[in-house]
Amino acid sequence: MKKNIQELFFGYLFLIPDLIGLIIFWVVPSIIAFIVSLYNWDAIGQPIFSSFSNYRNLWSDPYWIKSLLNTVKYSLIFVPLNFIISLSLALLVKEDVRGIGIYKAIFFASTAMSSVAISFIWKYMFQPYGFVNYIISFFGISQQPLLGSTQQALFCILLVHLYMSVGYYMVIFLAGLNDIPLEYYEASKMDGANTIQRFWFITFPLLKPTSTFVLIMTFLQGFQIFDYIYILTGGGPYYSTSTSVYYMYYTAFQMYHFGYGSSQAFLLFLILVTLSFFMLKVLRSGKVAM
Amino acid sequence: MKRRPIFIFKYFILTLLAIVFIFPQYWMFVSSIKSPREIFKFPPVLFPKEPVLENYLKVFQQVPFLRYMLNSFYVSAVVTIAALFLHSMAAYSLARLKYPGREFLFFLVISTLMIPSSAILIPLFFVVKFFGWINTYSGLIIPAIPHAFGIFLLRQFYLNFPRELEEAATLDGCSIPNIFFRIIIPISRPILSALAVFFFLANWNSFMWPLVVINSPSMRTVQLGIAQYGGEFNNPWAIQLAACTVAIIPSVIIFVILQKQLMQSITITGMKF
Repeated sequence: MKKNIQELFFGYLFLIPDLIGLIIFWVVPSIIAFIVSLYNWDAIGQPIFSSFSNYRNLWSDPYWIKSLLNTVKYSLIFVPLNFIISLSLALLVKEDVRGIGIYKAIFFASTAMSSVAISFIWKYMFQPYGFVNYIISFFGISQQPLLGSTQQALFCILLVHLYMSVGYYMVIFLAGLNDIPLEYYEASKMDGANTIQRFWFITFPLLKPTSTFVLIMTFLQGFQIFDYIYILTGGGPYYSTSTSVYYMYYTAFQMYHFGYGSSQAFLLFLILVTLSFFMLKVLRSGKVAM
Repeated sequence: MKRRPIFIFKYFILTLLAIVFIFPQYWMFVSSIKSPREIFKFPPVLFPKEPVLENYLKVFQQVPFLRYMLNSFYVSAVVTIAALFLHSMAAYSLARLKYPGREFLFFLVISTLMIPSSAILIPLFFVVKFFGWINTYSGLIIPAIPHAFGIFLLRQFYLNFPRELEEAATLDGCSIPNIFFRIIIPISRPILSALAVFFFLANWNSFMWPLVVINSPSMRTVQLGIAQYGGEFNNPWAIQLAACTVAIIPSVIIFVILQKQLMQSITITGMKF
């Protein structure tokens, strides 16, 4: 009896500090997000209730639509590319042969560094007289505007993001690959399966939980891209690299349209929560390497 | 015999990729020691012939960069320690103690995992403003502490602990705090240190939240310092990249020393902040 009361007391005592934090800094803001989005509020003066007018205005705001389209386009390119590259890297460094640890470390290193600093070095390399233009000049291509071009800037950002991300997912894929029992490969070898067949019929199906996890995580990250945009282009040129989160930040913290920014944030919230919901289902199924 | 050419080809590909991956980091450092004359040369100078250190001196002279580093270090260290302490207590409570409402509270904790941090940026700013924490360490530190993922992971870890340890201790008349601090914490040192590396780096590299909550120059973190470098200079790129190099030095040191642990922690956590 005494033990039960002790467990009750300390159970709540141990949980409460973190729980209060989660409520104040995660749950409450989620609720406020929706409330503020119903107001017209420009930081100075009183917020004015405006019902759903912020949401209506979104659909006639060409910059917001452009940003949303950019975000979707970006995610749809980033997710598969990141998947293919990081899985290929994992397959390349999987076998434990001499010196492989160094390669693994090199591919992984950039993911531990600051996105701001890495963005700056790439921004420098993307300059008209920078290293990227120097390299492509060897292929007979004339000087490209890169970050200064509405056609190329988003792909430059994609490159930087991939550089920061593939090493990380390589490690995740490695963990998934190491979970596949070796017996499967040995048995298939005896049956005369070649490397490609082994990949398609053993590795790929058994890697499905890891793959799902990676796809959802990268989609969330692609959709919320911010740091790289802020440093590399600031959304330009002509909104060609403005994304949903960047435009939301710009609306709220540069233009001080907090209500309008919040309506963008809340739509983003709905999209991402739906996605995260699926992620959580994958996580809780317990099949991901944890 | 058949394997050999493939083997060499694989190493060739790996080496080529490694050069591509390491080059930007090399280029950052090399450009940061270039003189104004060398940095604007085209084709670019691969190995500077007249390296200079003055770019680094200027970083610390033109802006209070040391202050930025100390700010970041302080914030990252406090968040890491506080988060590990609170998360492990909460996780232990959810994993090992029995009380009414526990399942519901666990559900509540884990639901917050679905909330995307960038979508609550604006309201979080209001909450922090309400507490009067704009431009303060509290504003940088306190909202960064609570995070359901740490709790979730530690809970998984505690669920797999053998019960016997606690039972023996309970029979000896140990109280719950005693069991937690004397038995559970020491056994969970490996996972706690893996998480510590992770939390510290995530906070050192954090950019979006400090950008919103800090607007006075003296409160800047390192990432804000390099993003909003405001010094006067005649060699902008070299100085900017010198600042970036200084900012990633802690990450590089942590990476070199704790690389295995970091990979392990990612395998356990499977998440990135």
